Amino acid sequence: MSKIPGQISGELLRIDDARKAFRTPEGGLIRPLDGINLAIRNNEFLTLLGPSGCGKTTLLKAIAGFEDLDDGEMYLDGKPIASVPAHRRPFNTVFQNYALFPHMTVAENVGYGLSVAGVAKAERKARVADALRLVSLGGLEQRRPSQLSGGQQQRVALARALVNRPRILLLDEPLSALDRKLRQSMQIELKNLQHTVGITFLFVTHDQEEALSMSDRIAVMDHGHVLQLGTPGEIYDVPATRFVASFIGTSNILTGTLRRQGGETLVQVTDTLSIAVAGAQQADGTLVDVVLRPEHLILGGAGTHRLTATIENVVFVGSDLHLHGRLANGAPVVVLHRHARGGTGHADLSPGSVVEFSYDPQSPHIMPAGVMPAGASA
Amino acid sequence: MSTTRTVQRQRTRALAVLLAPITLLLGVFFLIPLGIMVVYSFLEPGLYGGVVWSFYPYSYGRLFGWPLGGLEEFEPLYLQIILSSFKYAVITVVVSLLICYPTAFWVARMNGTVKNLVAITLPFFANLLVRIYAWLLLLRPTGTINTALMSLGIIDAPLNMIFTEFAVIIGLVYVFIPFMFLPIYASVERLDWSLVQASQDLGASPLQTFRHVILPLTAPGIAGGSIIVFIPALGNFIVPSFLGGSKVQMTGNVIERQFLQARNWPFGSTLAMVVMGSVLALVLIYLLNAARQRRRAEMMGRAEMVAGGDHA
Repeated sequence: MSKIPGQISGELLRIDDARKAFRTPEGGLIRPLDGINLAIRNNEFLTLLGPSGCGKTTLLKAIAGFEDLDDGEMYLDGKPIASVPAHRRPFNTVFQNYALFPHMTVAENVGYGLSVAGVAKAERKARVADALRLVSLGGLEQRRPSQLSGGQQQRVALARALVNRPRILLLDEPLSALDRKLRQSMQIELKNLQHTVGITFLFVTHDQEEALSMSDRIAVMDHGHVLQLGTPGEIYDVPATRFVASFIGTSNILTGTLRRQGGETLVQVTDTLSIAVAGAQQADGTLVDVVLRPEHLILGGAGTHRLTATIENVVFVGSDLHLHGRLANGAPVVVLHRHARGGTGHADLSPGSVVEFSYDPQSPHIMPAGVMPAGASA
Repeated sequence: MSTTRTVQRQRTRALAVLLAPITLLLGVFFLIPLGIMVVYSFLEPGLYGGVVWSFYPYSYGRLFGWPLGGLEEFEPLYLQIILSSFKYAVITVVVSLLICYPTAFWVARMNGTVKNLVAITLPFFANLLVRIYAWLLLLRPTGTINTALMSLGIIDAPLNMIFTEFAVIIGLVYVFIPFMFLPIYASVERLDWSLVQASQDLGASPLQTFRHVILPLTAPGIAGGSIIVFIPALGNFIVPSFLGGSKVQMTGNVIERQFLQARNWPFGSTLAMVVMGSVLALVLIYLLNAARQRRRAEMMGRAEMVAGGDHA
C-alpha cells in the first residue's frame, strides 16, 4: 500500500485463459484452473488468496513450470513461456516445506543456483554472503539445514531463491509452518525485503490477514477462478461477491430489496428490518446483498440509523470484544466493540440482553445478491 | 538424582533384555566358529582331516610365499582365484546396480508397490539350486537359448556360454539382485521429490539435478545394496560350481574343496580368513571414511554455531 503508482512499470507476466483439469480417483473432474486471466506487474507484491483447493497453488506451480497447462498461455515480457521447462524459467520458488538440500551446507544450498549456472567461485561466495546477510543469517554458512530452527530454514530458503535475482519470486505458503509471533514478524520482514531487492513477489496463502498486511494487490481465487483482483483496501471495502466479502474479514451479509424513500435509499430485508445505504447504483426493486463490517456497527452510538440485536455470545480477544447476536429477523450479526480496561463499559452485555447499535449509511457496501456468475473478475 | 539413576538403570536393563537374543545368537553361532577358524588356520593339518595341535604358519605360507616345502609349495593360483573372485563380485555389484537403480525409480513411481515388491521377491520362493539349475538348462550348448538361436538361423554353431565367466556373472547377478534392489528401492522411495523440484527451480538441468541431488540422496541405498551384494557374491560357491564348472572357480569352491575333498582344514580356514580379512578391511575403510566425513561436517557446523551464535 505504500507503493506509489509511479513505481509500477508495466506488466511483467500475463496469464491468458489458463486451464487445467485433473481426474480424481473417484472418476470426478476438478478444475483447479478454469480460465485464469491475470497480469502481474513489475515490482509488485501480488498475493493469490483463497481457500484450500481453490487452485492458487496449482497456478503457482504452473508459473514455476511444475504443472503443464491443458490450455492457455503465459507471457513473460510478451514472450510465451508455457512450454519452457522449469529449469529455464527465470523464476525461483520458496517452497512450503522449504525443500532445503539436507546433504549440503547453508552456503552450498544458497549457492546452488549460481553453481549450476556456472558462476565463478569467488563471485558465488560474495553473492551467497550478501544473500545471507540480507536475511540476517550471516555467519551460518557452514551449518547444515538440520542444525537450523524452522525460522532460520525459512530464511535460507528465501536467500537461496533471491540470490539468483529471479524475475519473480514465487512463495508457496512459506509462513504456514511458523508460529504466530514469528509469522507476524516475517510478514513485515518479507514486505521490507521486497522493497529492498525490488523483485516481484507472487505470494500464495489461505490466510487473509497475511494477504491484507503484505500485498500491493490481492487476487482472490475460488474454484479455479479469480473472483476479484485489487488492492487490500478495495478487496476489503468493496468486495465484488458474497464469497469475497465473507472470505476476507468478518462480514454481516443481509439480502434485501432496494427501495428509495424520502431521499433515502433502503435495503428492505424484512417488513420491519431495513438498512440505510448510500450511493446505490441499482434500480428500485433489485435484490441486493448488503455487507456490514463488525467495526462499522457502534454499540449504543448516537447515530439515527439504528439496529437492535439480542446478544448470544461475547468473545473476548484482548483488544476487542466480539459480540455475537441475532437481529430481529433472526440473522446472525457480529459487532466489534473496543475493550476498555476493567470492564466492558456496558453492564448488560450478558447473553440474552438486547442491545442497540448505530451505523453510518456510508458504511454498508451493497452488491448484486447471491453468488456472482462463475468466472467474473474485477 | 536418585530418579535419574533409576531411569538410567531401567534403561540399561531394557537394553540388555533387547540385545540378549542377538548377542547370544551371534556369540554361539558366529563368534565361536570364527574363533575356531582363526585357531585352525594356524594349526598343522591332520592326515585324514582335522588338525594336529602344533603351531603351523605354513598354510599362510602356501598363499603368500613361505611354504614348508616338500609337497606344499607356494601356489600363486590361490591368490589369483581370490583376486578373480573379487573381480566377479565387483562386476556382479555393478551389473545389478545398473539394473536396479532405474528400476527402483520406475517402481517407486507406480501404484500398488506391494504387488511389485512381491514380483521382485517372487524368485525367492523357488529353491536356489532349482533356479541355478534352470540357468544350466538355458545356457548349455543344447539348451534353450542356443536351440532357439540356431533354429532362427542367427547362429550356426552353439554359443559357448556355460562354464564361462559370463555364465557365473549371470548366475551371481540373478541370485543377488533382490539384495541390491530392496535397499535402493527403500532410499529411492524415501527421496523427497520436492528437493528435485527445488533443484529444477534453481535452474539445474536434469543431469545436474541427478548428479547434485538425486545421486547423493540415494547414495546410502547404493552403498548398502553394494555391500550386501558384494560380500555374499564373493563367497558364493553354488553359482560357480554349477555354472562355472571346473573352468571358472571362486574362493567358495576352493574352500569347499579344501574341507570336503583335500581334507586340509587348516588351509581351508586360512583361505577363508584371508578372504574375510580383506572384505573386513574394505568395509572398515569405507565406514571410517564415512564417519570421518560426517565428523568433519559436524565439527564445521559446531564451529560456525559458536561463531554465529549471536545471530541465532
